[in-house]
This record gives sequence, C-alpha cells and structure tokens, in this order.
Amino acid sequence: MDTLKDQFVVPGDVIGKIGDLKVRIGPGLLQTKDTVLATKAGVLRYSKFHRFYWIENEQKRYVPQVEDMVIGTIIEKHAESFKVDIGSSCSALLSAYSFEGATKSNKPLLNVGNLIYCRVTVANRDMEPEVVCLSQKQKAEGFGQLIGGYMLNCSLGLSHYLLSEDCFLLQILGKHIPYEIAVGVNGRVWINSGSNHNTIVVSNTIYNSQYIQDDQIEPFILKSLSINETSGLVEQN
Amino acid sequence: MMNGLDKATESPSRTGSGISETLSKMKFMQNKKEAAYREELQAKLEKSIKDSHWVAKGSFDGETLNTSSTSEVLGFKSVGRMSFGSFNSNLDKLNKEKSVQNKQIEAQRSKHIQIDEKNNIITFKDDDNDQQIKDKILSNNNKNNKNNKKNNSSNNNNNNNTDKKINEPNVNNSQDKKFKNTIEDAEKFLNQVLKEKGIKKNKRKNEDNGENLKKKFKK
Repeated sequence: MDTLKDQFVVPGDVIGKIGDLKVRIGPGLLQTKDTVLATKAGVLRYSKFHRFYWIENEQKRYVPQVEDMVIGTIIEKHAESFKVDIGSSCSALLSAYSFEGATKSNKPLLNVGNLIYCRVTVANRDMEPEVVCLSQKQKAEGFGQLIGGYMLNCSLGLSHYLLSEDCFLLQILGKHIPYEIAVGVNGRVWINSGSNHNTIVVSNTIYNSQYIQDDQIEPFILKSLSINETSGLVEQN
Repeated sequence: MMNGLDKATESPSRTGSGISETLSKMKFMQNKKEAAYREELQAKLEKSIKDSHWVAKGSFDGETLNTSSTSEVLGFKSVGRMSFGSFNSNLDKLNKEKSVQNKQIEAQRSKHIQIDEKNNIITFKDDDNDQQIKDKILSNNNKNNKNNKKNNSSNNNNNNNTDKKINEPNVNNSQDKKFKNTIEDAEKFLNQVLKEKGIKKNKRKNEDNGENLKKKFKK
C-alpha cells in the first residue's frame, strides 16, 4: 500500500492488497476481494496516525458523507422540514427541529433561497442525505442561517485547502480586510465583510489563488484594494 | 322387468365399495390429509430457500476494510466558520474553544503514541482510537457545563435569602414571630442537608476521578 503514496492514480489502479485489517479506506477507493482499487483520478494520501487512505482530487460534484460541514440553499419549505440543495445528486432533508432551541412553537424562520451552514448526519447510498444545524454537542456553534454576504462555488480540493490548518491565504486576507468566511466541504464558500468592495476583493483573491504563486498573492490583494471604489480606475499619484 | 333387475344389482355394489364422501368429509378423517399437505408445503419452502442461497464461483470469504469519510476520520482544525480582523466576535470565541480542544487531543495522543521517525513507524500503546479520545474530552466538557448550571442555581438561592430579609421588619406580632422561628429552623436544617449532600457529591466525584485515573495508569 505504501508504493503509490502521494502519487497520482487513475481509476482501475491496484493500490495494494490487504495486509492490515485496521487500515481504513476513504472516498475514491474500493475493495474487490483482497485488493484495493482506485475509483477516482487524483493523488493518493495517507494519514499515518489514523491509518487512513483517501484520494484527493479537484472534482466539483459533491458526494455527501457523514460529518461533512456543507453550505446549502433551501429550495422547498414544508410544514416540519426543508429541502436543501447541497450540490449532490439528491437534495438533502433538513428537519425544522434540528436547530438549537427549536420546538413545535418556536421554529426557525427560513424561506426559499436562504443559505444555511449545516452538518451531514445521514448519507447512505440510494437515499436522500439528512443535514442538521447542530454540532455534535447539540449546540449551534456557527451552524445555522448565513445572513448577507456572498457565496461562490469552487472545487472540492480548494475547499479542503481553505479548511486546512496551514492555509495562510485567509490569514493574509485577514491582515488587510476584516471579514467573515464559512467554508463548506461541498465546494461552496460564503464571505461577508463590511462593504461590497471588500467582499469582491476577498472572493476574487480566493478564486485566483489557485493559479497564482504564493508570493504573488499579497501584491494581488494590495492592487485590488487600491482600485478606487467610485471610479473603478487605479489611483494615479 | 329386465331394467328393474339391472338397477337392483348396481346398488349393492356401490355400497360395498370404499368410504363414502360424507364420511371422508368429517374432521377425524381430515387430520391426516392436512398433516400430509403441511409436510408437502414445508418441503417446497425448504427447497426454495436452498435454491435462493447460491454462492458464485471464486467468491471472497475474507474480511472487508472499514470505509469512512475524511471529515469523520481526520476532521478539521477550525470550526469551518472563521472571522478575521475581529469582524465577528462570536466566531472568534468558537475558534478559540476549538483550538483548546485540539491541543488537549494532541496532548493525549502523545501519551498513547511512540513514534520512530527513522523507520516511520507508529506504535500505539493502547487500543484507544483517536475518536475515543475525542469522545472522552467532549464528555468532560459536558460535565463542566453541568457544574456551571449548579453554580447558577446557588445564585438563585442567595437572591431568595435577600428577599426574605427585606420582608422581616414589616412583621410585629408574636404569632408571626413564632412562625419566623419555625421558618428559620427549617432553613437551617435545609442548609445542613444541602451541605452534607454537597460534601457527598464532591466525594463521589473525587472518587470517580480517582478511578478513571487508576484505570488510565493501569492501561
């Protein structure tokens, strides 16, 4: 299993045979008899501590998995539930009681088109996934409705990068612009800041960071900020 | 006359032959038939079950690996919502709490792990998984929350005491004084009982903590 670690694999590649039953496999890998095959094109990753293999790729179609934090859009409103679009093949189901402090007489006021930051709790094959606006401790902790702001779509790989610990892009943006961000594993990113100009700068920087060298990001931010809000032209000293 | 004779000869032959229909329809005659029919049905059922249990040639009888999602196994360092430049103070608090939890988890990991950097080998001292460690820490946090609730209840008791003090100077009658005495005695008794319960509860908690620590060290 170690030969193909951190290398690019293609669907059908034999990753290896089962030698240790404590090993776990994640998305993109499939077991057929005693061999493990790749079912997605991407880079094979391995976590030493967790003994966990998975494939990292840049796809855009989201496949729901348990404990994912996703951003969804409400598309239908029913008496005690909502239909939420989370970018997967089926729309997800959100109960009206899966909010902190929600009761029969106290339900959240949500309408079609609202954005919601939620967590996937049930994700079986051939079934509709279920989402919840509560953390594992049954508290809000950031989950719930996202008011205002702007949402952009990106690839799953970029969203994983933004959620990682060593993401300095968001920190550099935080130096120059006070803003708030919610990153969903399903490739959706929600940004909110004090003005539309700042929101546009943040979203453009995040989107273009895929194609820019790391040392060129900060000049890009400064150049974007220097554009005058009213005239749309670069200031000339 | 010839015809009449033929009929007479036929009737005794019928009576002489096997069992009549009316007799065979009676209950005691039906039991055997029902038993035979039941056995036939059971045989058919067993056949169908055997036929449905088929195994393809070259099938794999070994164990299968566990599959799980990256979010469930690895998790993320942040809560998923972040604010920069003190834009949203609530999110800052959440992220601080999350970072504290992560530090606790990593501290416990270091206890359970031996890492040989040369050989890139990790050996686990205990069979505890990372998820179990997380669950323990989360349960401890829940206990802390319960303690906070108890503190709130004690504050309410203090408020009640202050209210009673304000009402005292309005009363002047001797009968009311007697009632006062009884009420005060009851309050003292309750305070004693609460203190005793508090002491017991604290002892129990300490004992539980000691047991947990002993278990950990034994492991």
